[in-house]
Amino acid sequence: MMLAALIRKEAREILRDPITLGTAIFLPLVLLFLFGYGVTLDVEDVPMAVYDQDKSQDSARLVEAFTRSGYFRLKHDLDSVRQLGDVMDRGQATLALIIPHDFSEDLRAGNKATVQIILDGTFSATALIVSNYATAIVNRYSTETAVKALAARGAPPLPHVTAVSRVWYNAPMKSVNYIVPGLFAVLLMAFPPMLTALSIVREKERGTIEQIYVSPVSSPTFILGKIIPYGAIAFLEMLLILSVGTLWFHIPFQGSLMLLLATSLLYVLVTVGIGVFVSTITRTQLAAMLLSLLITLMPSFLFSGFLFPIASMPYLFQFYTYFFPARYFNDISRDIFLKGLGLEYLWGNVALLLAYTVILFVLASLRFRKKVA
Amino acid sequence: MIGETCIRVAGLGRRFRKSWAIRGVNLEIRRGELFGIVGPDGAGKTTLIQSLCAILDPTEGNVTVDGLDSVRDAAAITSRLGYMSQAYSLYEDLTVEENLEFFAEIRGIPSPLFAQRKQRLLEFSGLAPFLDRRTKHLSGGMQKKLALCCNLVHEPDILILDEPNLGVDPVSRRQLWRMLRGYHAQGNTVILATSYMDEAGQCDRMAFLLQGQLLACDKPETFGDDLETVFKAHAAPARTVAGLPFAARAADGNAIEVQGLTRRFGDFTAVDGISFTVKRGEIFGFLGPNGSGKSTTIRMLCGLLPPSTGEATVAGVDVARRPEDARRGIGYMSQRFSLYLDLTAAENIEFFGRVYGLDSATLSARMQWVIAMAGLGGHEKSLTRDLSGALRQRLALGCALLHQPEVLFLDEPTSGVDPASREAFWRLIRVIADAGAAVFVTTHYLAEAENCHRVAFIDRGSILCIDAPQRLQELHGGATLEDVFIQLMEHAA
Repeated sequence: MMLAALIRKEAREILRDPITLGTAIFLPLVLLFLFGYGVTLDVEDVPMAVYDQDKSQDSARLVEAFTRSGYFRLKHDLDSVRQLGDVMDRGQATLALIIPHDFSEDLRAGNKATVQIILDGTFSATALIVSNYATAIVNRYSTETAVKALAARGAPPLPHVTAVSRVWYNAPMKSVNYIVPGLFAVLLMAFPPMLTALSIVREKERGTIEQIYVSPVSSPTFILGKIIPYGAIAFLEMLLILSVGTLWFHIPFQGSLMLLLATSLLYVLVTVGIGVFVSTITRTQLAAMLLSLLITLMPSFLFSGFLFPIASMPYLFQFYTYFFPARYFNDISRDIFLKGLGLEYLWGNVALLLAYTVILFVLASLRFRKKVA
Repeated sequence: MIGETCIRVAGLGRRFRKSWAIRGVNLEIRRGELFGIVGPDGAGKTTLIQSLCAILDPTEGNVTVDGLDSVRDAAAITSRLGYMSQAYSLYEDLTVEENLEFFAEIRGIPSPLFAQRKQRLLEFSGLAPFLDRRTKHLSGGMQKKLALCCNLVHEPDILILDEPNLGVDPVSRRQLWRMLRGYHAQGNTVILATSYMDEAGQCDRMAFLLQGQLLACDKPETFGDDLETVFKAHAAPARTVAGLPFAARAADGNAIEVQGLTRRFGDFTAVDGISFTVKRGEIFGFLGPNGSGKSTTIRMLCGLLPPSTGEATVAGVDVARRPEDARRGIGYMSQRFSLYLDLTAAENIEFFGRVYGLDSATLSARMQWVIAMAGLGGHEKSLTRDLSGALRQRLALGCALLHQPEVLFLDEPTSGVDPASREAFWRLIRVIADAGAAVFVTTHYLAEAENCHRVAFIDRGSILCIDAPQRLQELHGGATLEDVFIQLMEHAA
């Protein structure tokens, strides 16, 4: 069997090349831990500065409302506006609360009291969240103060509305629950295509491929002989990061494991197929590496919805994301992991992946001609 | 034994971008022939061979093998032929046995038949003791033999080889040639490109390519008695070599002194206590089979590799202690020619001149000389990758001479270069030596080693003998240096 011979040869080469094995197995694990711990969009323990000119019980209660919320940590107690500028410039505080000297006076007089909040808006996404938290804290403080004041006067309580929110799918709202299932799509796109492309282009560079050209091995057989072993490695990689990801980071797994494995097998075929395709349009290992990084790793970071939600991209870019299969698998993986959805919801993305696989195979088989030039 | 026509080439032309690699080639090769393709570098030998193998489509004309067209029926053609390319065709991380097995399997050889053939091929090639060795740990000669075995394992009717003996030592070359003759004697068609005229002379017929044109195709005898001379007459006009612009130095004393030089890699002793001296103005040949320690020695003498024990003084400097100083007096040209392929010829010269700290005036004077010497006029602005092998070789030599070295090391400088260019190259070497530089050269072409004042034979890290080529022939009773070499090696083995 020619195919078996090709696969056996490939397996032997892979097992004897520590660099390939290391890249396939070790690097994804390193990245998993880097991202699992490093990338977090959670806002907690935001450093905060306070310039309390009032120094009253009321102002102290407001500051306490901030620190007790768990989102803020009081880092700097300021005495002047100049100090404030300094602290913000150095980035030692993301939020500064300024309480004017007539704060408690106004409150007690039943007037409208004002506090100022200054935000470091350099990273706008975080600033927005911090701003929302701060406003919510001040509002609650305001309501409580009003209710207390009315009660003290013996007046009937004010009518008001409280929203009771419940978070579905990722109840603790932890970033890691969202990052890790998305990381599968990115990691499988990062290494398997490059390794596959390199293994074929290496044969071109060394000249071994000319022996394949003059043998009865057909183009599809040769391509399968690359896709199967590298697909197997990629699937192994998936199993590894899946088990480490869920067990180490305690990611809740809601859906069907079989469904996730089946779809990831399909996704693996796509990623390896991209590698084969890259090898048919490049001649040197350097070019193959750069091209595969350019069309796999980069877009899978930026345009798969892994970090940046697709829904908030400009319309044209939303369309653009459909070129990158990492996007489909990112959706599938998160839907299975966090929402526990089944095929009846996921069939669209699965069909797109399937179509992608078929197109890649056909393109690669057509492009891979058994000719030296 | 020679039968009907099996390969027919009609009006074949192949263009790469704007230039034609071959054009207007008409050729018929008959079944059972031993057919040689010769020609200088860049003549289009590889292009012709790849077209015959149906892995390169013609731009015009056509190639038919057993009546099959090389474009339409490529698969049917390739299934009946064996092709040994010039490039490395083995999987280096696989063992000898695994490579053989792989090539048998992709050719669909059933395993009992494979076992039978493997046995015979291993005995035939002398590879049997190395069955479990990874291919990358084999010497160059053994790799070539294995590559040939990988092609013989499916017993193709037609065997096509592209310079199978390039960079192979004389002993391995003789064994390879014996294997080819044996296969041909079984009635198979064998076609090979070669730059060894003695091989071409043994072919039934040979085709002589020049600048992409088929100049002649006939029995070797009809080309005259001495193929090498015929070839040179055809190939390139003898160019006069401009003298060195460098002042000749006093040619007294030793340029290289080596005493008990040894290099070990783990348990393996690559170079084992060798001693010799090379005088200024002397051309010293360093000869030995692949893997005998030649390159290791050169690398130690250039200060690229520290010796395990022993001393080496080059151009008056102890290379082990002060490799940086020693390198100033050394010119080095490796078989890979160490040029930047993406720079133009002139840019390469400028770069190497600057690296050696030449000032602009000196650099421009020497650049002129290198361009004249290498015959690069008109190619100064060509990318080095587009130059022919012979031009690249002379450019690399020029770059190695820019800083006026006292000692010039040449590691297989003529590998893969045609006979005419090789001779021009040796004329240059003599001029350089006459100017007072010591030249230390390794080569597999023993005919050219006769240009050396003295030669040393090295085998498995030890020097077997050192003397003038003439003296060695007298002492060992061989007609040529190649006979002496083979005698010595077979004795040693």
